[in-house]
Amino acid sequence: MAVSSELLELCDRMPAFPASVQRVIALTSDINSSPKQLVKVIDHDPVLTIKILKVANSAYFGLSRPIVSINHAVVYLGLNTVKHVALAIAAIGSLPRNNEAGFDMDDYLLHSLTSAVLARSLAHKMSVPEAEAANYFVAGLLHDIGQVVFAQFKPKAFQETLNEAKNSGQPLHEIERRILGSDHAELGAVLCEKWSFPEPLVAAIRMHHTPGIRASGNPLRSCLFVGNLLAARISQPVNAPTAFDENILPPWVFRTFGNDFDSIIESMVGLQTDLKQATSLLSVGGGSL
Amino acid sequence: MKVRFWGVRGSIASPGPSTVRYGGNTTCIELTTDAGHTIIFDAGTGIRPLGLKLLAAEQKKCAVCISHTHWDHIQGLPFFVPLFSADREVHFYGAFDPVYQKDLESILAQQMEYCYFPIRALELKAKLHYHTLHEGARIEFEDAVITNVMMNHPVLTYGYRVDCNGKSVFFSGDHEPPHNIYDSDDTFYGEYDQLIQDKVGRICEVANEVDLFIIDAQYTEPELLQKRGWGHGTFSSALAMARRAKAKKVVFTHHDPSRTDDQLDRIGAKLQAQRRSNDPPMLIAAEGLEIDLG
Repeated sequence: MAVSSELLELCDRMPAFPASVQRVIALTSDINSSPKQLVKVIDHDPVLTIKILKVANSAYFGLSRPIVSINHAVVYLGLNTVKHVALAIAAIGSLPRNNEAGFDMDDYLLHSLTSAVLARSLAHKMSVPEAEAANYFVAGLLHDIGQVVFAQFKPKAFQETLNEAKNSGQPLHEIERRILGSDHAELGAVLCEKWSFPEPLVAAIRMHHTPGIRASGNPLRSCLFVGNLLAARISQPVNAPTAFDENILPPWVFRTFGNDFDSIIESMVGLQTDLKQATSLLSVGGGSL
Repeated sequence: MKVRFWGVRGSIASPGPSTVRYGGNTTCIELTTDAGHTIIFDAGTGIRPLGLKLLAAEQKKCAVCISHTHWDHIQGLPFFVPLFSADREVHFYGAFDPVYQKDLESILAQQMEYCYFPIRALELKAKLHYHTLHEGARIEFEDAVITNVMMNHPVLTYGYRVDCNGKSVFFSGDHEPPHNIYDSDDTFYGEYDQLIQDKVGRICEVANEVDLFIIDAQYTEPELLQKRGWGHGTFSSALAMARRAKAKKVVFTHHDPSRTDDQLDRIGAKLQAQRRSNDPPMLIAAEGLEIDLG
């Protein structure tokens, strides 16, 4: 289904999350702050991440291979350039805390970060090289970015969508297609496509509700698909995919990762520590999120 | 191909008795191709006297490759007299600024706005052409080929390589060896280190086996410890890159404004004394230095 070009244009002006904006301003005003703190704020905020990757992958730089991680963007463009791009995004303002759509940003961020950690962890299970595992984190972080776009720019229709999903128990993306004309997976994918992100990432985001035929076709897609379901299993936020029947999943899911969802989660070494670390920024001064 | 240095100072012009021998003008390097065409690296204050020379020359066309738009690399431009002459043609090359979201033409015009300079960019009489380069672009300019690569500086900076009839020059612009932002026991240390290696490798690939490697060596090692992130290299880091790129000759430039002639003499002597047998010949850039690559 088509995503309107008007909606995509609006994304250039999309603000980041309030706590990240505050942190970017604070860290960039302090000459002694450490660069890795700034990078951590950026690479844990879906909006800052997608927009910095947009700049790094823009046609102006003619990259031979796309940039998917914020660390890569920092090494390629230089720390100061990334810092100033982040400041320019912060200068747009923040996503409103109480948005018209009634979209719960805390749940969204928790689900995105949890999916990011799980996708990276599943990548390790598939023996993806360490250097590529960062891309899996980014895929998890960005997969639902379309929901933020709807919440920001189509608040009334998205509110209706969220309410219907809650009341009917039907998957959110199906209701989005009906009410908004396209779903958040397609919207996120089209945005990433427009901004020249690598094709496997675009495909993974587009198909994050649809399992592939085999795990190895696009491992990023496979890990994101499963990571998204496991994240819902762990945190059960309102906007995450609701109860997914394990029995109807294709056999590769369990052949590749473990016997069932619970045993996959249990088998992930250091998962709790990683989750705690990734979501640590959510709780610091959490009131402002 | 011939190379002549018109400005070798970094950060700010620094005239005075202690800089009179190496020179106080900021970055400007002139290349003359075998067929006699002019390619200029950067437009610091050294471009003013170069402009006077070019005005008297027969050649009406030149290329100006801007590494980046910090003041010391563009400040001489409003005083570059060929820009005021209707029979001249100047081609500017440089990057798009990702923070300002502006191209080179807009940024250079900005420094000629009313409060900075009495003549507007629009009033310049020469035929001006601005070319926004993406990294790795290959530009044919008369009998030379110009390529570029992204360096590491607190603004987007291109290093340039020029090839002409089998001879080559690489100019780093301003460059600091990338530093790992993580501690060695952090999870991302290894990944970041690999990204740095890839970046440095890419630069050295572009500069591979150049006949002349002109590189930013603003600091000494102890100075860099105080000035990490300011975007400049040291004599040692510059030499290390030249070795890795297998350069055939190295010129250290972008001298710190506080660096005296005597200090540069001492640094030069020390570098010669410590020179390994397979190291390329090394020179410290000075205004008026000319190198004929044959």
